[in-house]
Amino acid sequence: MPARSVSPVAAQTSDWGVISREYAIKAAYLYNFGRYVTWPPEAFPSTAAPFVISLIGQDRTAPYLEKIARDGEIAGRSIVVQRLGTAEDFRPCHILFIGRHATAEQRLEILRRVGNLPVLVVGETPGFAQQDGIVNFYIAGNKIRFEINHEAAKQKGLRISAKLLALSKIVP
Amino acid sequence: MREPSDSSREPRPRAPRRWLLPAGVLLAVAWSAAAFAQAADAPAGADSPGERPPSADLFDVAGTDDILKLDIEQLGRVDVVVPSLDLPVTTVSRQQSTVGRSPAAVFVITSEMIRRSTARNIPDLLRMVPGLQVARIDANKWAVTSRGFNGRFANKLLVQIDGRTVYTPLFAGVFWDMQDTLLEDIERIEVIRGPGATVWGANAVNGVINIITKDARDTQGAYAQVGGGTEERDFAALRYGGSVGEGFRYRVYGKYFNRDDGYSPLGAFDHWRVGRGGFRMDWDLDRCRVDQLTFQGDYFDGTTGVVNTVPTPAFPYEQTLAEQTPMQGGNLLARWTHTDSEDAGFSLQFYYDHMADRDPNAGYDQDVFDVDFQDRFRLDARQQIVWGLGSRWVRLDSLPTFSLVIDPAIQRRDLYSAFLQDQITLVEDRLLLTAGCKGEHNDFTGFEFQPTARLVWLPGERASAWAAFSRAVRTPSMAESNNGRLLQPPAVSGTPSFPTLWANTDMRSEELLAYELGYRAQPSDAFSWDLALFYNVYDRLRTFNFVNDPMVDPLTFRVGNDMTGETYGVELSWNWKATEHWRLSGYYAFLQMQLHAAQGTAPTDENPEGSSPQNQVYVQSSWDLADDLEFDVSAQYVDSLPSLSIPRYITLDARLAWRPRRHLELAVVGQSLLEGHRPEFTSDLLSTRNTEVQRGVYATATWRH
Repeated sequence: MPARSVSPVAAQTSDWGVISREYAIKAAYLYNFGRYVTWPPEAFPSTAAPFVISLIGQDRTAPYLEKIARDGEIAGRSIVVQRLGTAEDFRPCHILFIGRHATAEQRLEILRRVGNLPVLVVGETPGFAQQDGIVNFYIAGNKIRFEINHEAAKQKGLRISAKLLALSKIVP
Repeated sequence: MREPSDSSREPRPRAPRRWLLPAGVLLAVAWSAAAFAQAADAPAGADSPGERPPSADLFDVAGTDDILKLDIEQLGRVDVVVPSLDLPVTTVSRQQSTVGRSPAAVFVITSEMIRRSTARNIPDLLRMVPGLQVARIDANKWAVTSRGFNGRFANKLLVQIDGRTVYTPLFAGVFWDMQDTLLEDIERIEVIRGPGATVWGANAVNGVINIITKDARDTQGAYAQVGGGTEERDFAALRYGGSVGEGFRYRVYGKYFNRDDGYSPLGAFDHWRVGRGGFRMDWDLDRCRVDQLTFQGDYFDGTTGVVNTVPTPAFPYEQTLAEQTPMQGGNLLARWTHTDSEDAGFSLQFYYDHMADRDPNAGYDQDVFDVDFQDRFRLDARQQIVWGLGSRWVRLDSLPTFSLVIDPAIQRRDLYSAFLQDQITLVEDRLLLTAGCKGEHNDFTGFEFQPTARLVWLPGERASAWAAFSRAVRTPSMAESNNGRLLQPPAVSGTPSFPTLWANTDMRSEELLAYELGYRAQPSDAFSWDLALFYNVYDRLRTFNFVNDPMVDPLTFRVGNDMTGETYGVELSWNWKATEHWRLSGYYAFLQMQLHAAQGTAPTDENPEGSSPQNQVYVQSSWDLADDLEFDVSAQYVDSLPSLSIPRYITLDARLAWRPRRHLELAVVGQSLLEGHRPEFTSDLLSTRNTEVQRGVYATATWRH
């Protein structure tokens, strides 16, 4: 049997409509990435600085993250969620999630602005971790999985915990 | 023969553009709602994007709060999708959406439903769709329609296979004996009841059927099937899918079937034998699905049996002949799809299609060349636009016979069209408005405008309600709109008193104004239901008007537009996963038609009132007896058809399938098990002998690797 192709869109069960919980699951993952990755000290301007998660091209994940942010914390820091309308809105953050609704131009522009900053760049389009990003979501067997480009993370000074690496597929 | 005069046509006052008022009201309401929503949003919008108020409560899907609290290991065990209304559909708005969000009466036949069905051809598959009327005329001819007006030349249902229209402008309708593909390779069949004219154009009046085959990447490997039985005599299919490099996938297939004659007390000669082959290539140019090219094509060659009673110029002025009708055809299609993001992209498609039917009484060759461009983008945070341009060139070459003359015999028809549709989010994840219009120009009736406004309200993730108003037209067929005529067998045996139907180059388009409402809900993960209501108002329906001219035979008619009508109905479908291994689904459909033909029209013009069943019930059970054993049963009740003297019937189909090895499936299928034979329909316009559907049993062996 040929392997089922990995699709960025929610996998469909064969004969039956579905409710997708994809956005909630991805929001919970983004929060957990914050807990299992260590940022270099210069990523935080002060000890009281919040932990910032930015999103572009994925409005449906944001409400769930905002819900988590209301009473959650990461490493003793409060969480701020920024929804970016355009790539020009980018300001330094800790996690940047580039959703599948972002256009190719937006993606290129925001990655140019991220440059070498210690930002955990997360995507959800095939090949994202190999080309531009560090973490990429994909769906396999009706579960959300993620792949990590460990080399790219190291180059940015991000330390990824062994537990997170163990749960991921390492690329390239 | 002298061309008869037009005197019998009663001048009817031209209806003012009745659709303008309701359309205007709906648009005005929507416009003010949009303005209101935008005003309410303005303070937040003025701030930086980071400071939008949290709106998480809008997304409270059952159980998602729990998901947010899970740790990273538990997250990897959560199912992304759980059963619901979110089956994908593209037919409603020409872009990816889901059943739950579609403001139209949608039903999707999935590949799994096809695999477990007892059907061996496309029309039989459609029997499971609520709101469609499917009836077999003989073993190779069908009458298929949506929401009434059924007939062999049912002209208000648009059918497409992979974006290629198979609705022929010759007789206005679908020749189902020529439409087929490898059923295994169908990804899904989307069926919309109600107008789809705003995106699909003329003749999508009562419904649209889109048959979508799988991407070549999903048909990698080999597939082989052989089988045979009492009615489905013998059949075989073979497909192979492979790849070249990483981004280029292809498949090739071939199939053959031989179907037995039906039953008729007068003797049947209506077998159906077709060989068909085809290919599809999907080339992902950049390997991340930004630019994709698709090439596909099919070729078929076959024969059908037909028993026609035709008029002849010499005594006894009619004869009944059993004839083999060769038919063949093919198509080639190329499509370039460019995807920028989920909201933006375009596609450009070309196809060429050829069909030829060598019926000695109504033979023809038809060539179609079609170009279609469509583009979608997000205008702002609230508006998603889809627009498109299209052209179609049709050439028809008909064979004049004593009974049927299409004049001129060689005709061209050019069609140009443009559409624009805007999906406006009035309240995020709560209220969506879709408004659009198609403008189309054809050689016969000029410009046609087909607008729609559709509103969908989502009270939660598990329910949606929708309302729609649309206008659609059915353009005259080439056979209706020319200088030719159709002779019927003599009204009095042994005399040359041929009832004659003259075509009319002044025929106008039939018009529909449709009012629709729907509600669907999924109270639990295991149960969902879908209700659709419609009220259709028709104007300028086709009639055959008496030609009151002493110089011609009294039974001489001329095509006109002198009938109005209303139809209304209810379609209720449901789906219940009773246990992990047992699923039940079904529908109830009710249809009422009232037609009002003007004076001076043929007494048969109101017959469609009684040629579609008023009540239909369908129940299907899919039961997994064991991991390798499936048992499926479907039962259907179809009401009588008074104007065709067809009695009501109940029928039962069953399938037992066993998978002794991973790649092999063996199945035994019984069709129409409750009766020896039953009539379902009769032929219209052409005097073709109808036959009855017989009980049948067949067995298959299927190998997938």
